[in-house]
Amino acid sequence: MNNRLKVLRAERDWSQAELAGRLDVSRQAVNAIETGKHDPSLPLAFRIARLFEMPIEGIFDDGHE
Amino acid sequence: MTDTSETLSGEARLKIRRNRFWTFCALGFAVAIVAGFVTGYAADLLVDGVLPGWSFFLMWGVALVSFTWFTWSYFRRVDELDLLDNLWASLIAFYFYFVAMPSWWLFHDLGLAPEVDHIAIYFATAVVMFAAYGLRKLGLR
Repeated sequence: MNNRLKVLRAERDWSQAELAGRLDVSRQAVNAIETGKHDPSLPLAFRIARLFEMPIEGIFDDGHE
Repeated sequence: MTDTSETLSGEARLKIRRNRFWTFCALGFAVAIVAGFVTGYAADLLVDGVLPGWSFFLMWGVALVSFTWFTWSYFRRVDELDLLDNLWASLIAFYFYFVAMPSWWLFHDLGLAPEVDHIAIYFATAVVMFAAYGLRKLGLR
């Protein structure tokens, strides 16, 4: 699944560690999500959406129209 | 006591989270080592008849409950990625055991291998599990 996490993080000038701390996950988890190696669970996706104040589909794209 | 978690930066919160996790692991490791020494010493006393027989079951029960509690607590502390890494490593190790043990038994039955060594398979399964976990930690997901 594609996502805009890296872009959104860069816009706020946050490091992966900064984002990880705000989401209460490891830095490895942020890296795995950004590189598409891990799709976050629904609760984590909601936490990410709330943090960036965006709808989930504005951050994650499953390739379907 | 004021909750400062909202006022701290993400990096500071991550540092606290990481420190708490590694402290928990280090304490668990230290307790396991001490328990190993104590039970080893107690086993000698048990064999010599100094300790009563029921003390063995008490020590075994305490060890089992402690291990269960540590594991439960560990999985409450890790995030979902680490949980997945653990689950995949466990599944791969289980599949290894599921194939290795009957294969060895079959080869032994055909006269091609010595009797099944369950201790060897036990340790090999553990090695496979740690290797699978390590590879996932290195990013091979």
